[in-house]
Amino acid sequence: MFWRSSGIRITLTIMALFVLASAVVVGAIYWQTHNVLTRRNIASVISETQVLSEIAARKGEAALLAALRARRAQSGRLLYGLADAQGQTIWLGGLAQWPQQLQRDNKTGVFDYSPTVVSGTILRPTTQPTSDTPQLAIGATLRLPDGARLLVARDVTEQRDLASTMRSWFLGGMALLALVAVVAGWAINHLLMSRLNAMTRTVDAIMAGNLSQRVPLTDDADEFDALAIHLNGMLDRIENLMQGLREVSDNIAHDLKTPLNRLRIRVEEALRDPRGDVAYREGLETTLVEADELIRTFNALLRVARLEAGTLGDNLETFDIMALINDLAEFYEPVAEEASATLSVASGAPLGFNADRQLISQALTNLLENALKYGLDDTMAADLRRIEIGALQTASGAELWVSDNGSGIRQTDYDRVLKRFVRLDEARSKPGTGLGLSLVAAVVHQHGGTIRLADNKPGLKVILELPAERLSTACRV
Amino acid sequence: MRVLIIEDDKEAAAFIAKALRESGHSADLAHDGETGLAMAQEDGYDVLVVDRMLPGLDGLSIIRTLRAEGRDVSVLILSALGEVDDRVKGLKAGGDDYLTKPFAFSELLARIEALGRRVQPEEQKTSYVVGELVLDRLSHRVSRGGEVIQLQPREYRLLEYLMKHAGQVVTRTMLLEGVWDYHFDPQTNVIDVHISRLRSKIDKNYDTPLLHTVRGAGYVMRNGEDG
Repeated sequence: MFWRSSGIRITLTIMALFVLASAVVVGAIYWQTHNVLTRRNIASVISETQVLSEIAARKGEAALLAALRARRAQSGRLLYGLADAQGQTIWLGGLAQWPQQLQRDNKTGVFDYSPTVVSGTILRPTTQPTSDTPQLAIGATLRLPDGARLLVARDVTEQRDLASTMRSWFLGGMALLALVAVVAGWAINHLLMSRLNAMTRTVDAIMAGNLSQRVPLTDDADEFDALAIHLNGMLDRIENLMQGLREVSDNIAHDLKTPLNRLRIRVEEALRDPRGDVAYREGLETTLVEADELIRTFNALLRVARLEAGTLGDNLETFDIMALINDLAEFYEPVAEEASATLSVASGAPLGFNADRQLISQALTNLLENALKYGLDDTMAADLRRIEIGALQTASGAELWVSDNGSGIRQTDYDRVLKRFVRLDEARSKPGTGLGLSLVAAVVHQHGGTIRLADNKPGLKVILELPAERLSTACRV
Repeated sequence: MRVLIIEDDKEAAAFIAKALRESGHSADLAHDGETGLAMAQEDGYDVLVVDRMLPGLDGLSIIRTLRAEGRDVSVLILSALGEVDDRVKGLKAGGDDYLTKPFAFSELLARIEALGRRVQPEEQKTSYVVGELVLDRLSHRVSRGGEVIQLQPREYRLLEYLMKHAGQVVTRTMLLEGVWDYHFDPQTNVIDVHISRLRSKIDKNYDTPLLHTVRGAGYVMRNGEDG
């Protein structure tokens, strides 16, 4: 479990790399220093052997021995030895035994030795070891002109001790680093996990069905909060979609079942009718009309649902909204005239739009049809009844509107009429699906705008506010 | 007219075929894509009615294959997918017309007959004549019995569409699409109002009506009952 955490893994990996890098650097320095010191020691003992060899050549063995003694007495660090041509030790200064490693002439090497305090006699070494712990020395041998073998060595125990101290410090440091790595990893992991766990809990709650859960935010406004904000935005969208889907299924259950049931009753009624064939024919005809109405409602519902769930697709085109409005007004003008009303376009300059032309024209069509169906006051004189459609550029984008001067709707109903299948009592006597305004609202929302209902004093004004990005300076007029 | 119906819903296909035969056409059936394509490749059909979603080869692939082979038979696409996008895709694939399920048979029949007529050279005509009504496509002049009738541009286009399909039933949706290029379903009787306006100009002051209403289907331009 501990190792599965990515926080821990990352921290440990970084720490391991850090430890490895320091080991290489420290190791290289250590090795280099050690080498230099060793080389210098070798050089110094070799040069000492040469100096002594010259003394031996010029003044003989006795003088050499005297010189050896004198030098040994001067420096405790330097060790000396002299053996005859057969390899028999004549004299040893500072070491108890001729080193095994240097039994031959003209050789250098590192060896362990037991140190002595007292210098030996000429013929036999009578020295006593001073301690049991062997010391370390670097030495060189040289064959003297008379065949005797001279040994000069330098004690490097201190150097060795220093190296081993360095080694222990180094290992201790590494151990400390490793400990820091583990602790830091745990801490970072704890920090990350506490943030991630909050998200995981939210996701779990959502999977368990609670779609209203959101990832909590902190005051830090860090990357986690940025991620949380995005996640929450996504969850809002999903919740909306789910809500829409749920509404559609509710709608199907309530609002489509009713007409289906009515259809069924009609059929039963026709079958029970004693008039026989005539009744069957009538029954089938009304069934057909009702089936068509049902299909129409179903199509509209699917359309609204699809619009609400979708984003603005690739059907964007650039067009002049005034030209579209003029076309639609021309299309519906005869219907208005038939109903003894005037349909007019509020004059406006060409206005370039970048939007889904089909959907915008569908939305405006629904508004015009609503105005024609519900917005004409029968008690009003014919020449006073008017419907107006228009578009204008505003500070924040553009407004499209359709207004009538009929009886209007109560302000308290403004929100309600935008909902699916909501039909005000006044409208129930007239045909319609109750989806017209829902579709308009869906189209406007898809275009990033809002729909607003207002009192036209008298009558209703429906205003579609579209954002500035839906405007286009380039348009084919 | 010979019609091939490629539709996997056997019951619906049989109903369409029966109704087409009753309307004086001959109809063959195919219930999957491969069979349908093979039959369509044998030629001899005036109109293909192709369902978009078929087992095996789908409808749009059949049409693309036929078009790639250079066959210009008229194709009507039937589909449960009714959004503008779907329509555009269908027409881009090489379909000539697109009808969304569910549909009224009268709508399908009118569209099939319009497509069948389409291949005839009538398209190139410079004028349309129904009885004593004459529409000159070059000068945009309309006259009846030598008397000039003044029409608004949109009324002219409506009449032109009706006269182009003279003798055939034209549905309200066909008019909406063909004359206004609108692809939605008006909840008001707006098409009827336009027709009655046109009728008042071309028929009102004359003894023989030329623009007839076909109950439950649409309209037809016809000189008297003999068509």
